[in-house]
Amino acid sequence: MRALAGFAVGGGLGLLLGLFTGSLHWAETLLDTTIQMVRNIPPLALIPLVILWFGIDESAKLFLVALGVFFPVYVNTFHGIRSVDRGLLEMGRTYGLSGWPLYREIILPGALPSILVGVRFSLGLMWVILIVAETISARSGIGYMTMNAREFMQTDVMVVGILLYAILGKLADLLAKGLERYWLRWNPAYQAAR
Amino acid sequence: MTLPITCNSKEIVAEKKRCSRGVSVGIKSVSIAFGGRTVLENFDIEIAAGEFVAIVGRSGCGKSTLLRSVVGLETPQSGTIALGEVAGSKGKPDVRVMFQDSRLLPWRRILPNVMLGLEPALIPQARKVLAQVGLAERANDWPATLSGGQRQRVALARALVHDPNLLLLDEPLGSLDALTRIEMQQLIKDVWRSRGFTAMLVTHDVAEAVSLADRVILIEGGRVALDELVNIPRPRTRGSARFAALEERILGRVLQRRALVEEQWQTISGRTEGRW
Repeated sequence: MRALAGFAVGGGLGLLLGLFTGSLHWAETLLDTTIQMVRNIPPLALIPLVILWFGIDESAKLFLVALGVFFPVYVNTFHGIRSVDRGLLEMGRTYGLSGWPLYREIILPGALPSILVGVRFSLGLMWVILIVAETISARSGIGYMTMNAREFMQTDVMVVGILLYAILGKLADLLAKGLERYWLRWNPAYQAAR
Repeated sequence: MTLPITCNSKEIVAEKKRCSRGVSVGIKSVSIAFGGRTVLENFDIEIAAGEFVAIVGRSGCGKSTLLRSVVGLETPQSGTIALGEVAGSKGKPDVRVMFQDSRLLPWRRILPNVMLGLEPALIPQARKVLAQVGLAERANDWPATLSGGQRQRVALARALVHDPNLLLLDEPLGSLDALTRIEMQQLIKDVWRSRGFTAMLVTHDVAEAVSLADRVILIEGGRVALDELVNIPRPRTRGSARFAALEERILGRVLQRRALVEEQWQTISGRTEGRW
């Protein structure tokens, strides 16, 4: 749950900002440098600060996960929008599309393959950050369970925890793949292997 | 000026309204330069409503740029491009472009591609046009599953469904094989005759220009080098002497073999004079 909430917040923000800087030049000039600077700070290096700012409860973990997933989604959305086929944009304009219809018909679908790469990437990252986040004074969660098991040398529980992460990771990846297969079914490269 | 609009007698009643759809295009002293290199210089042409004009020239002579500036994709540094009034309508003339590549949206099926920018209420009309280009049964396929020629036909349908007043064709058949190209030329000819829009075709293929257009314009060094009416009655057969002579003359001019060709032209036109 923590993972999903953090993913929703970070991914959503990344998507929005990516769309914003990708489509508007002044937004890129204004924000992109800052975002790239923050991106290069490992989220886990912020743990001490995060504890100071947010305490040791839920919001700290949510913040770390959101921060971690933000960047892959942001970078890929930005790149996706920039790499939308110029020819199609031109065609859209000559057919009288602008504003939201142009976005819906051409820019978003064109950027989608790239955005989904970002989503898959950040889903993986989400678990890594969550495990570490859950080791800071959590009272529940798989990370907490595994950490506890380590303290008490309970190898079986540790293995269960690790397996759980593997399964969750695989599930998340399946979800992302399913989205890809549905949204990108027009693209021969993404069609189910026969 | 040639008689611009030709309708088949059977269709005259049904298509009467459409026959007057074309708008005139007035291009006056237009200059366009890219990074200091002049592409078009003081360029003038007048195109009558409903006329089919072919623009030929070597690569990079500015013929595509001219077309792109008519639709507003390029802004001329100076000069004006004015479209005439649409007969019986006060709205802005509808201009559509067909590009060399089909530029279909790969993420939309064929029918939604044709419907781009239209109200859903116009689906029957889109299906009709799709049937007209012979692709009615492919309406629910992805563009990736179509051949190059089929994609161009979809692109043509997408342009036609708007019932344009002016259709700009930017080497739309350049990447097609010879057989498909002849088929497409016939298709374009037919829809132009039945709908009566103004058409501007940019092409490398002089034979294509002569077979389709009322008038062939050669651009060279950013100016009109040749402006030739095609006085061959339709339907035109490629094998005919007049067709071949005119094609040879224009081609010769493109290739700068002027003197030689003029000479040939004299003899050919002298010989065929009786039939003119």
